[in-house]
Amino acid sequence: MRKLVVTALLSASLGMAQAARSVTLPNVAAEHAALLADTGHCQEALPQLNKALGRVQGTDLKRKVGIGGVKCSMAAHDASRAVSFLVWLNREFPHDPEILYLSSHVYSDLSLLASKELLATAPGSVQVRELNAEALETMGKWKDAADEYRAVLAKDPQMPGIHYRLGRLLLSEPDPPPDVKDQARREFEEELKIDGSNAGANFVLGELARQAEKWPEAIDYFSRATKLDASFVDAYLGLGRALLGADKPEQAIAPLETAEKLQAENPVVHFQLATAYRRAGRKADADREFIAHREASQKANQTSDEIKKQVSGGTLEAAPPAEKPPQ
Amino acid sequence: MRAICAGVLSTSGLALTISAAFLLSTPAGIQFEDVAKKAGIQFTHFKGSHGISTILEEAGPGVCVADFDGDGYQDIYFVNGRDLYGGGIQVRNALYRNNGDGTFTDVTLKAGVPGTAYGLGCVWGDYDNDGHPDLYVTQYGKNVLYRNNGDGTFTDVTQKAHVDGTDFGTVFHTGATFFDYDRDGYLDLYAGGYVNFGPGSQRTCIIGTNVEASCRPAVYKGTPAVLYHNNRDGTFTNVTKAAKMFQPNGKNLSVAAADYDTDGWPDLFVANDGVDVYLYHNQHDGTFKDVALTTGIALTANGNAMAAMCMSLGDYDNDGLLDLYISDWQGAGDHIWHNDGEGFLEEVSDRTGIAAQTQNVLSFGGGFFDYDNDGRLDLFIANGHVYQDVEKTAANIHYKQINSLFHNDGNGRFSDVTANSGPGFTVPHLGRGAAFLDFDNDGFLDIVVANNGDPPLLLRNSGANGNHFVNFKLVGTRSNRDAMGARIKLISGGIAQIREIAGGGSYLSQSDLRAHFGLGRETRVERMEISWPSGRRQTFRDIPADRFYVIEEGKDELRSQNFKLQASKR
Repeated sequence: MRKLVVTALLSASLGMAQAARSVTLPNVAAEHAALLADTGHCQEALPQLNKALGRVQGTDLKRKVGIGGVKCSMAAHDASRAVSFLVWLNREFPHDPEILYLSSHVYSDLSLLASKELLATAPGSVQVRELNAEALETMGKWKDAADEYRAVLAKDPQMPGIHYRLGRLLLSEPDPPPDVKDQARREFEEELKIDGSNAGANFVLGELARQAEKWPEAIDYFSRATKLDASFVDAYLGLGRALLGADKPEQAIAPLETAEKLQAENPVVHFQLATAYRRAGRKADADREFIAHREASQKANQTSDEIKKQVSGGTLEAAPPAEKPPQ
Repeated sequence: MRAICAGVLSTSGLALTISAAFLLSTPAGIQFEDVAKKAGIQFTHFKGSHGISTILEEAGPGVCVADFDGDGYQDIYFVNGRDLYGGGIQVRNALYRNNGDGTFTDVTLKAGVPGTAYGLGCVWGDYDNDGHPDLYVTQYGKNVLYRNNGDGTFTDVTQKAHVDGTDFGTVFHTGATFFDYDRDGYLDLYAGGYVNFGPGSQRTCIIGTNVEASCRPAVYKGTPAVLYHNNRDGTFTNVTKAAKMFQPNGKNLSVAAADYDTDGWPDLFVANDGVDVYLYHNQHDGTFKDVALTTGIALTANGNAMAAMCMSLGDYDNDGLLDLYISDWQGAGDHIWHNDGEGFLEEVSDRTGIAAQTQNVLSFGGGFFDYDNDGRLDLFIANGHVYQDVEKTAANIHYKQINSLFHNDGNGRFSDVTANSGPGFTVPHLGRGAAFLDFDNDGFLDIVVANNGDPPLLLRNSGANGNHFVNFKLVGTRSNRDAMGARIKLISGGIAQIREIAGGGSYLSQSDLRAHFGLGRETRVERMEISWPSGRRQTFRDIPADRFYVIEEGKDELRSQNFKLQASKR
């Protein structure tokens, strides 16, 4: 019965295609392939969709071919082909909600597939434990996640990145013990013994030092983080803040200006830079940055408010009181 | 003993040496006890709610203190809501006269100050310079000005004075303050406006997963505030636009006047809910300029507008400059800005420890005060949420909350001492307005807290920790009679402290206008200088501690404040 329906649809489609003079031959084949994909005939559809990729004309058909290609590639467990279709779709339809929605699902499914494969092929590996720890962390199961990270270290004490993850986990706990910062600091220091090039560990150690107002130590760590990763905005920001804390506003200006170049939309960067200019006696520059701070803040808040409104519906009208309103 | 010889930079730029006597002072032993009931205060705030409260019903109340009858003891005025739903419930505001023996008597009806609509906040100010503090109450609807007749009664002069606050259509009034912005010797008045919430407005919103609650201010448009100039004849003129202070989108809560840049002219700080803070810098010609952005206080360092409920100005590090505290929403942490003396305030919320220690409370009224008389300004904050069922959205966020007390450690940091500060800090409430006063004149500052939907707290300071104090009541002659805007600089034990006499502040409230100084173990004040709003300066030397003084502008004498016991009518 299903086959009959598909055949009928295909005939109708071909009939329409033939009737339309402007329709080119590759487009007819692509239309056919998209219809096959849409009706679940992926095996037959996929070779033609592959051929059609990049050749078809017309917005609607491109969309159909791309979406069909992603669907059939995923059904065939062909991750790289699915990604090729997705990349093409995102290029052809930038910022398109339907395509972005599809992308988020496909990447999520691919992530699941990869983790299943990891589990199936290397069940006892440290990577499985690391992945499990990360999953537990996102679920808010802090203690279980920490246990998993420690199990990884028990198996491979020199594994890079694990002390760093443990340190971050400790700092993320909602009800941390009083000495949590000391515990975390030790983890980051251990990380640097294993991997001195970990910019993240240097950054967090800088932040911990900054919060404790140990300015020279903070400046040292932040400086290292910026050298290890020249695009690390937060490290430049931290360096600027630490230099301000150390009462060196003139020196704070350069890293903060770099942070501003890297992330002009960040209101915190503008505020700190304004503070540095102000304290360095450059009032006009400070005023300019304070205005940029407000503009960046308004933009960020506007975006965040718009998202909240769109996602949650904003607010809900409730019934007014039966009696009189406020006098 | 570590800092016995530490240098402290005084306002004059001289390095002073902190004496050992100051450093021996300790915060230990101070306890606060709620004595409201014992003192005969029967008042209970009525929010007017019927089911889920609206933004109006969660906003109040404020509380304000003054010695309205001139007996030397601070009296207390509590603002109340009204029955909004036709339930026939009769409630009113309450004026409690301090009997001087630790008790109070409700004299509202005799005084004739019950309020005329749903009340939010209140301030005192002797606008006619007759020596009797007058009362201004902010309300939903028209505000009311009660003129003090000097015989224990008041007269509603709102209409005659033209100060009902509705000039631009604003009906939801919040913070207000008297201040003499043109230094002509008469108090002017700023009346803040909150959101445009009316009978047709959305009443409730959904928070979390389908939990109904009052709405955020962002749901409503802002409203203009009004600046009234005192015409010196019992009337006022709306000069908001002429003074360049008209702001149609404001969502004012707290209002505080202070000369932050020490140019001798009062500036005005206005805290808004979810909108930039305004700092109206006095241009000395009857106009103002909003310089909040370039002063660094319009937004937080993270670029967020604050849910700015409370404002307090005080010199927490005794460097001779007024610093700023603003309370904020739960999860955002509160804020302190340090004044650099060059027109810039730098946010030091992290550095002072305040940001982290106030994450888990929704802070309302309070501010800087020296509760242990150690010569350093501490910080009290009244707490409480505005969403009745907030617990349903997050187990760790509570509707009723315990207030907070932070001790100034003298090293630029504040420590949370709430848990060690006595039974007054054990019961959660919906804290809103708060005022500081020494109601029993024992030399230690007490606190009155107005709770939403509950009786207030009168937190008596146990004192007696061995630290000394000195208290000054200033009386203006060329300056306004309340001496609002006068600044006192006091040097004792090598420490220079300042106080500026100011109304408003906190949250919809006003504190004791007398200047109270803790002196640690010092028993004398070396030098005290007063800069009056009129421009006159006076200096006094070698003043004995532990006394309450009155200083009249232009008279070089220190008189004692006169305390008269009232017959208790309990």
